[in-house]
Amino acid sequence: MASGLPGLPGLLVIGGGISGLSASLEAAETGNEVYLVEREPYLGGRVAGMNRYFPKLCSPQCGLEINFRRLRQNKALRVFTLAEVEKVEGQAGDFTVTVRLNPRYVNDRCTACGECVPACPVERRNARNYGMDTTRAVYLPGEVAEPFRYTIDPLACEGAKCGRCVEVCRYGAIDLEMASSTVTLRVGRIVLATGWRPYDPALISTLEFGHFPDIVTNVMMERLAADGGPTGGELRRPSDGQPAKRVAFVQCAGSRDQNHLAYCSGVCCLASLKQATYVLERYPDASVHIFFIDIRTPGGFEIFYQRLQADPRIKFVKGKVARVLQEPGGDLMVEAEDLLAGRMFRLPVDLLVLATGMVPEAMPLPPGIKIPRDPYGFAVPSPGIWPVGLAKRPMDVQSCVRDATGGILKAIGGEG
Amino acid sequence: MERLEPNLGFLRSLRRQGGESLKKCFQCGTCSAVCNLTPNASPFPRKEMLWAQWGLKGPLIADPDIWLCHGCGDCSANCPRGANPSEVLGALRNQTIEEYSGPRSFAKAFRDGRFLLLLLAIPILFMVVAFAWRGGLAFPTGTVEYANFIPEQTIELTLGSWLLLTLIVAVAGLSRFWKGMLAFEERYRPAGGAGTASGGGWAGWKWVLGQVFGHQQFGKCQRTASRRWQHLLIFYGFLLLFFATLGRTYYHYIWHYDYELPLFNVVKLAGNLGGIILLVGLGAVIYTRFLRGVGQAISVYFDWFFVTILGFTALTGFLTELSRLEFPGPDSYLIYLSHLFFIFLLLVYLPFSKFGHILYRTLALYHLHRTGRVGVPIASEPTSSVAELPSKEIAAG
Repeated sequence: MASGLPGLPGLLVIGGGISGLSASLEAAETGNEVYLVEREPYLGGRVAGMNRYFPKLCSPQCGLEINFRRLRQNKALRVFTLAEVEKVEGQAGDFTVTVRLNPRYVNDRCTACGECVPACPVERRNARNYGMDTTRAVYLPGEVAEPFRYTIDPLACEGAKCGRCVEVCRYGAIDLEMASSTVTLRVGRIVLATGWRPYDPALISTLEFGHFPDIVTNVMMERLAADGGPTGGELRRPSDGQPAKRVAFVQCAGSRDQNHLAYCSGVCCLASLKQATYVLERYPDASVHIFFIDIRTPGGFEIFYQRLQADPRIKFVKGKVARVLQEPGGDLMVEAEDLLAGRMFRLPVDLLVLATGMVPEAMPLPPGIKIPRDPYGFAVPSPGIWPVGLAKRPMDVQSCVRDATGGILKAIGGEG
Repeated sequence: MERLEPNLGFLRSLRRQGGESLKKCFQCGTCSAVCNLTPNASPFPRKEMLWAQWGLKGPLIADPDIWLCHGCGDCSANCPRGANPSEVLGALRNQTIEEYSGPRSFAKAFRDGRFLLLLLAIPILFMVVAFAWRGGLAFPTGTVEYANFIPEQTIELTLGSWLLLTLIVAVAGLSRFWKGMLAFEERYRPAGGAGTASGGGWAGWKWVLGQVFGHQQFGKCQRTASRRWQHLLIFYGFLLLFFATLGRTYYHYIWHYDYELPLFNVVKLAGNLGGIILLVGLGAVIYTRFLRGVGQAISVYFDWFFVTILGFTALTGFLTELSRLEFPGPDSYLIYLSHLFFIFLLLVYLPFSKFGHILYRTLALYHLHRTGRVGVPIASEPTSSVAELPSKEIAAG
């Protein structure tokens, strides 16, 4: 190991999102042997699913692209996608890790030409778009997927008895007989970059998510605005495809609430402010209401809030939405108290965005990883295992990158 | 700029009366949004929570809105902070009853268990003095007829004079409450808050009667719809008993008949039916609210005092009826005396105990209808917006 600390030199990073990617690259570029294990068929995690991201409001592709290039250039880094850590044995300094490699059914001869797609007869729920549309069983996981290769969903695919994709593929890239395998890795340190998932909005009964189609969450809003989203970036109502010109955001949807998430995720206010700009860029005559308890724009982002406050099309209303209704055939209505005016109102909207918070990804940790968690389920460092990014606490993208770099410094420096 | 006058004593008292959690409120407005009973203009209970945190006794004890609340607990169930607005409003109603029922020092005795003996001693002392004056306690022999023990007229005159005192306290309290509400309307209702003040007079009382006899607003509560029926049972049980009492007086004056009425006499039937209904309703209330804590869950001494007395009044009433036949003699006369004792506690102490809600809620409801607050339509959009930059404001200030 570079630091000369006792133990095996290798380092395992679990999770290939922005935190795991950053951690892997920093460790590999400082001369460490790194294994990156990602469950999904692509790298980039939830960041890859965003339309724009802070701080510069550029497409996440630009930030990810740099990291993917660094990754391809580095020989000390081995990446496993569609891979899950099955078992961890040993202790800090000497872990034996069993990784299961799930079949992609598409080999590295794939050129992503896409001719297999029209041949595929099966539709599957598109999880990346939160079920707002479907893909075929063979699909490219994301607009700019890394690795840039198609993949086949084994739960949807009918297998070798169909085989139409195999017939049309000119490169012999599809192998429906591909089986899963395992590899055993020996590493000294583990970095946990397991990330987050949105709080389940269906649990917030007053907000009626799931009862009316035009109620979406903030992560769904990113997809509605993204080119690869269900509407190709046109902001339209899921119910009837009409333009979503009257958009309301419910801040603290389940957050700062002892019945749901007692903490503030610290990113949802800025996410809604950012998404308000999506609406106004798409439809300059749109109107946006943001219902809040407090607007929290930490760091230097207050200036972003101030810029939006100056826009008369965006109204910031103090008052938490706790009732949503829709008469059959009528408008979706949001009911709340307008606190500063001291009166109840019922506002018709096209699209209601619930700014839900972040919870640590609930995937069960592989057997052998014993790590303490805080009361909210976020991981706490323990000997030989460093949680970084969202595995540790809610944070935004740039904080994840910083945290991953810091985490790697500690892991290879042996602190903790 | 108006000076706020925080009243720490009031705040402390409120927290003791079930409002312990009020400091947890962070003014998100969830409570107002989930409430089915709030008017659309200056809704409750969010504003009351803020006033309570500031210790603003002035507006709170003159606020008619708290009497629109039936303590269903919808707000508390959805409160993200566990600030329990439902309990706080309950505590505020109790405080209001204390505030207007003079003399204040006597009213305070109703929310402190240490004064229980004093409150119980008053009717006992009165009875002792009355019997001593009449030449001691003498139990008649033969068939038990309570009129032979204490003549009907004696009861009417003594209880009647006590109730006259009660009436004076009640009217004085209500008139101060009314003035308070008028001043409140003047000072605290934000512009555009009240509707057109055309709901007074007969229209107002008609609406109030609907509430009193049908509990219509009460029926809008979401979480604890059953509480409306429980309260209706108690209300109609009490009403039947009240009519039975009037019937007794009717027999005395019209027919000069003071003895026990036959079982199937209308007055007797009304009394027995009322007693049963009342006890059933009361049992349901004690089970769901006091023991299981559904809806408004915190029950303080003040609540228990009234519920217990109401229950014992009905129970001793039935015992009086039974003992006359089952174990005639001095025992039945003593049970009868205990029944009179509880009736005294119930009726003479009415304006001071939780029973006082019958007065204050009724008047508050009338005021609310009169000022048009219950009919204000909901706004179609929020009118305020945080458009000013906070930094600019600070710089300007």
